[in-house]
Amino acid sequence: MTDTLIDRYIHEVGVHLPAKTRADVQLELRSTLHDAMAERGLDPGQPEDADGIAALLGEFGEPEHFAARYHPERYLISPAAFPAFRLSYGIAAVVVTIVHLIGLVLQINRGGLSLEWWGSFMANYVDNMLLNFGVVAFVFYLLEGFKVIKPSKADPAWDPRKLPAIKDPDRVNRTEELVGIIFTIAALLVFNFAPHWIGIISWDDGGARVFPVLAESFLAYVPWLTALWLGELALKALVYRARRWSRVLRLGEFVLQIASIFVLYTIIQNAEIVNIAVVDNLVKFGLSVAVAIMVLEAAKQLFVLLRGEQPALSLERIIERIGK
Amino acid sequence: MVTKEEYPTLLEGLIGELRRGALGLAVLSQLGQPEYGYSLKQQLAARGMDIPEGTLYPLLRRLEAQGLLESEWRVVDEARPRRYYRISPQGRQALGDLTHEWQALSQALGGLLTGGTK
Repeated sequence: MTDTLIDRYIHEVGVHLPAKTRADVQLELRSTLHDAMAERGLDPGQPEDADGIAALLGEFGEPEHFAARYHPERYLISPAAFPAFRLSYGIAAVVVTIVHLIGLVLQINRGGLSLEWWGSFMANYVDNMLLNFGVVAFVFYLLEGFKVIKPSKADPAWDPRKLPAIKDPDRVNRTEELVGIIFTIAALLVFNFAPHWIGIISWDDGGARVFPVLAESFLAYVPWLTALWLGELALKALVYRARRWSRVLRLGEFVLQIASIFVLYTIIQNAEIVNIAVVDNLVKFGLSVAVAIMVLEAAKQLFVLLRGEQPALSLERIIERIGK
Repeated sequence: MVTKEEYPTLLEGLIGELRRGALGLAVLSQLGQPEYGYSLKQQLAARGMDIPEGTLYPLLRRLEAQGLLESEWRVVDEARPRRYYRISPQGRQALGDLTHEWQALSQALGGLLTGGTK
């Protein structure tokens, strides 16, 4: 089911509200909009009522301005600048995290993971994240103080019909999953039945010849990779069929991510992947970066799992809330 | 000095400031019985005090945060949930004090406006 203009408006208001009050304000806004629509005989599911609903939302005003009135008047970062601040801080936090993860992978490769090293690593990471937050907040404070960022004025030509669609974090991109399934099957077939196809191609009088490059010590790990890919294939098929990410599917993905990190780390540490030394080092570096990204992805997945379901605006959830 | 084009915006701002202080009093005066936001808005509009949604709802939240209103969610008809607001005991006291203050201000201002400038 596609989201209605009302859903998009409520969602967009929520983007500009603090998390603490967001769900509650959105509930009340939805309730009010339904009252107003009922009075005017409007139905968000009817295309012919779109103009009436747009006019109604126009009376409520742009989502940013509507939300701004819920903010207390004293703040370090204003409502107008808050989305940009959150994005900037998020980008800076991801960069700091990736830099630390690369450092972690390099240290794993060097084989010096002492307790003291971990302590220093974590302290350094927390320090940098706090510094990062402080610097971004200070920069925004200055930008607002010197009026570089100004509160935006209400736009009389604002059109609610141009509101962006709501991004649903649980909605599955089926094309992406299908491509993933095809590539996983291809990897399963090639690595199990024709690993000698992976190599350097040379053309001579007799036609094209492939010189296999995968090392014997790496091929010994193919059964491990096969088990992972079969798991991946089963999960992708389930996800493709379900169309939405559930808690069980996310848990499966998390388990597979952890297993992949373990297998890849073991391969990097113990095996020669390619039988050409220089290329082997490059491949291992590439895999180390991939492992770092996978650690980040697994951490993100774990966060989503622990956080549980986000408060939705379904009637059942509203009634559940009232019951409490 | 504002230009002719800027004057409507200036006037809008001045009216907004003039009304802002009175809106809380208007809302408190109508919440002796529980009302949800939309019905309160209609009730106020019917009595000549039209408050835009974008002003009314945040105001209700602010008054509640100040302890002058109490609220609760209820599912009344068609299983549609609504948030009902009602004046709190502290709100009643504030309503009495503010009404007194408003009457004094109104009387003083009336005298000033009808008396003209010196």
